[in-house]
Amino acid sequence: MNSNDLVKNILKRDVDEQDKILKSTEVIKPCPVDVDLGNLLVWDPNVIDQQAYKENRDEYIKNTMRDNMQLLVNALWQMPIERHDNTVVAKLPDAKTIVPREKPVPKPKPLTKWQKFAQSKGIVKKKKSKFVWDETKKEWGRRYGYKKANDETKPWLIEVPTTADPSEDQFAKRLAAKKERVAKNEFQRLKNIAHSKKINMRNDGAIINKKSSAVDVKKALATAKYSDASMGQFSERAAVNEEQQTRGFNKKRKYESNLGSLKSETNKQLKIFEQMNSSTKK
Amino acid sequence: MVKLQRIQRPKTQRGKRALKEREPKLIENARSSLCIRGNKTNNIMKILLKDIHLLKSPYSKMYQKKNPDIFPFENTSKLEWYCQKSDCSLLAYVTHSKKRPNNLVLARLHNHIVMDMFEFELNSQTFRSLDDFKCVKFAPGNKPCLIFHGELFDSEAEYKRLKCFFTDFFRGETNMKEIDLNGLEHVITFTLDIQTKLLTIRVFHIELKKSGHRIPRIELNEIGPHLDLTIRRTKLASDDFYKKTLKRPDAIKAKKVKNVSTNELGTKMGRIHMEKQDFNQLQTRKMKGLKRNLPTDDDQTQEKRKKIDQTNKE
Repeated sequence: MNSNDLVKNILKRDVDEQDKILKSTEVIKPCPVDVDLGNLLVWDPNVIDQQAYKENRDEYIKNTMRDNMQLLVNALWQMPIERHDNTVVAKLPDAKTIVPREKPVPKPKPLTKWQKFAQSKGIVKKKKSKFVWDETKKEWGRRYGYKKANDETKPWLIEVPTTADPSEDQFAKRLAAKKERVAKNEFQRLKNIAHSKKINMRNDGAIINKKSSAVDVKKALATAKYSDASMGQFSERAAVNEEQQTRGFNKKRKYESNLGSLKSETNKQLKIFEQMNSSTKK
Repeated sequence: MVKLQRIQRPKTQRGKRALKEREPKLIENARSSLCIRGNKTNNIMKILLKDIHLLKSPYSKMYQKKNPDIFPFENTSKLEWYCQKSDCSLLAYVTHSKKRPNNLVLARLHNHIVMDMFEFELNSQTFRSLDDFKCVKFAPGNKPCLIFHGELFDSEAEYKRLKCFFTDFFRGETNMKEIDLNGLEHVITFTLDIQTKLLTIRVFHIELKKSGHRIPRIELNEIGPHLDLTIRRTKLASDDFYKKTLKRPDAIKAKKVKNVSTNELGTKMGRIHMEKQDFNQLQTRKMKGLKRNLPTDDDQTQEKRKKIDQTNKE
């Protein structure tokens, strides 16, 4: 073999290897596939080769899918690539296929009555500090909430005003006033919600033009029976079921006293014993 | 007279946050699926349900108990309620009965209302689960690649919807800006034959092999599940409803840049609007002779004459 042939052979081998490398990642399809990199999605519109499909379905699927995946990788490797500490990251474009939303487009929160009024008058909310100085305690405390400063429900001594009835309980009055304020705020909140949902409503919170269902009537009756507070003396007492229908009026759980009667305790023990006996018979 | 009913508000900050997480968002997070089984299921369907759960995890919840009296094609209210409760918008429901053996129902919801629902029959002979393939699997939460093959996916409306449905069901994490190239782990493939209308779902593990140049060569290994499905019943959303769900919020739409366009060759073209030019303020070439307040000739010449006169007198 002369040197000329040797050089030719080596050159030929190099060219063959180059071809082989290119072929390993090259895929030719009759119809170009649609690649959506944003979703990592490939849509192959080519007709299924029925002969190959029927002969060996799994083999055919594996081969075509390998080609499609290769095309996806080829497209992905064209994207700009970045390196974040030891990981190679490719930038993805926006998704092409539009998919339905899971939930509707968020709407802006409806304004409350006060917010609307403030807007029309140009009243801007002022930022208040979270902590204020408590004059009596001589320390800083929260403006609202737990351990708040200047808490008016805390003082244990209240001066009876000269105009007030001396027999009146000032503490009870203070408590009632607080409850009233909380209830008013809650009612206003409900009215704002009803207004935002366009429920036609009277000023006292009754819903206009809504036929009351049997449940509603029952609830109203139970509430009325409960709230006349005669406890069955002047009016009929609400049944247990009816009582339960009004929320918040449920009976509280009762515990037995620590010093219970001996008789009831023996009965209880006997009952358990009987149960155990019956299970063994089976 | 009907009074306003009490609407409770969250009592704790944690509860408040949890509720906020469920509110509609501008950019939505990944859809999560709910896996439920009916009253009667065979072992194969149970395994299938578990596989779907594993494919979708961590964006998936599974109810372990059986649920009697659920007939998705008659009444969806119970399923919708379950989905709302666990904040899921995808659904997989399996049953096995004499009338409909090996039954799988997949559905997606919009705003807690069932949108599209497909019922499939699983070919139990050819079914193989994730556990049947003893090989390297994928990390949970890894975003799968999806491949659709088969001309029916583009020609018929029902199958078109099916393609969109499966994209929605399996795509996992949405709005990804970048992807770790070593994180390409598994691909879910869907093949639909035009003659038998058989839907073949195969899941493969992706192997990136050295090819000698930059782009790696791909090899696929099957990892399961291995499903052959045929469609039984379908319930698709009406076009109006479907269109409504596709609506995208204005806030995330790309704003159109005015007066800038790109032509077919990809050259960026711009149009500029100018104010009317004022020619009086135009900067021209400066010449001494055209200066406005040049010292007048008279003053200079008079001075010069005076000088000459004086010298003459002397």
